[in-house]
Amino acid sequence: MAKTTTRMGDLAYMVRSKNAGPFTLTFDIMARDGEAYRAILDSGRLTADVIGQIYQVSPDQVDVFEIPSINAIKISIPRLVSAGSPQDLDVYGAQQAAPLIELPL
Amino acid sequence: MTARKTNVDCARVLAVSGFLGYGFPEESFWRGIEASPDLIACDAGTNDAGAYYLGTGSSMTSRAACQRDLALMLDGARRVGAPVVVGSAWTSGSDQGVDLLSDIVAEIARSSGQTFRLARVYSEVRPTKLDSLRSDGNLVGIGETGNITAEDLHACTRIVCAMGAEPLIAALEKGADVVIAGRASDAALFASLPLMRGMPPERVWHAGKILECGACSADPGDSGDCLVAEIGQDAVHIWAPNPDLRCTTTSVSAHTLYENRHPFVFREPSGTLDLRAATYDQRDERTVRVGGKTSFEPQKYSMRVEGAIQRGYRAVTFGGIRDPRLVQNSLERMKIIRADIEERIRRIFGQTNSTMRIVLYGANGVMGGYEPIQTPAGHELGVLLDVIADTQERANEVLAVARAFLVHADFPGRLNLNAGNVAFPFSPSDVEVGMVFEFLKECVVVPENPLQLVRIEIGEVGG
Repeated sequence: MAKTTTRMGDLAYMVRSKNAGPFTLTFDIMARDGEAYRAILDSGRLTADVIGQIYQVSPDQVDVFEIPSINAIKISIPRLVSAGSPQDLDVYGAQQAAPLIELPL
Repeated sequence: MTARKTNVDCARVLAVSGFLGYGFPEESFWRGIEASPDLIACDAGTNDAGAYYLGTGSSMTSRAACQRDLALMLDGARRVGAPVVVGSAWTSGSDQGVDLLSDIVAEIARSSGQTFRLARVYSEVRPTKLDSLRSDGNLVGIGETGNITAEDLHACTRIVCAMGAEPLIAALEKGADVVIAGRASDAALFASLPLMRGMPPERVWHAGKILECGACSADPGDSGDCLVAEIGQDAVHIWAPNPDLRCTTTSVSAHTLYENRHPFVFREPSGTLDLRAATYDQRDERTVRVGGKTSFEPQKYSMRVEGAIQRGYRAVTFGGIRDPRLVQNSLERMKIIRADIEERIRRIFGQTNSTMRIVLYGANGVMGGYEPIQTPAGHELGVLLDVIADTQERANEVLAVARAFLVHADFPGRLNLNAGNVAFPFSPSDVEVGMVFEFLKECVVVPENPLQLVRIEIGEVGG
């Protein structure tokens, strides 16, 4: 039997994306509990390199914050185009978290 | 106004909801009023929905909904003798938005036979004024955006600068019962009176950050409901008047993540709030005590600049695709169709000052270039045709050609010959959207003082 992959969505009860102002996209991840939080961090997958690759920004533009008091991780990146500009596909930035929900850990 | 009993050792602030016009429940509001708040406040704006609202001076909530909320706020305020502060009027905080909400306040005053001392705090700044500040090195770009040029500023249809608490305090100190402000820091609306009362800035700004979205920081969160903060020297107590909403340590602490770039550090016009050492304790079942060694470090005053630049006019159409021969390899086939459409547009119009997007929902319509799934699996597609041109007429004309040849385009393997590639759910299929705006690059301005770039006008209304 094939080993099933654990994905972020299995360990978190919230994975969301949203604008933080028109020029920044921010992701909030809240783990189910302390154990899940450690497992997410220990996977070593939530790095600036991985996030930069998914969202096509350079790793030095990726901020990853760990918030152990509430088992949360916050990631902020610049938007490729500003909210509501002619090239934008998601004015509120609210539907950009899918690759993180599916991220294999 | 009735004489009021001032809360001496704390400042109590009632946030009615996360956005003026969201229609907070009356029961929640009156429970909040029973707590005898010193300030009743609400944010009426956002830059979240794009620059259109700033460019056109239009609002995301309706006049009727704003009037309903304001009438209740003014009624409650009169009963407890507390001032009302509303900021970022009419979504963008434009001068016309300040006047529009002020007119509503005046109407309510007249129809209820009351008199209010109303302060209008305007925050629009002319491009020429900002350009002179830029020449003196007092306008700086943020992040990757680089330097702002005179051309950037002069391209703006409208510019607002987000004020801090200082202009609001100036209005309150002049005896305003009601303050209608232009673009403002959300937290500043709630911070104004508590700062004026001398409450500790780190407590006041932390409370402001929690209050700015109404009961979003309760469990369950609701941006259309009320929240109360009791700001004291050592701590802030947060609770929601609606008995169905509980403030918990998780709901309150997690809220500071929302829509902020950094989880703990927040820049306000007058300084930086640092919440790294904040503590959250459950005081009772529905109340959270917020404290800890937080800090507010004063800094050189700076205001976020928001400008709207017009980028033409838009016309769109939307339809569905069910033809399996087009759904398979849709992205590849759409490249062929796009090239054909572009050729036909050139044939009719020559060079057009227009751009066209063909957005395929069911393929990569949401994530575009960074959609990780390369081979979509569904059996239907939604297709958006989006044309932006320098006039509305030209956008309509180009869309008409693009739509016709999206419908009739040939592609390898097509069986549905000469019928049509798209199912339109409405007629007419083409929709005029109007003006398109984009934000000026991210930048801040450093004024000589907090009042330099705002204008305060105070007068009596009603009677």
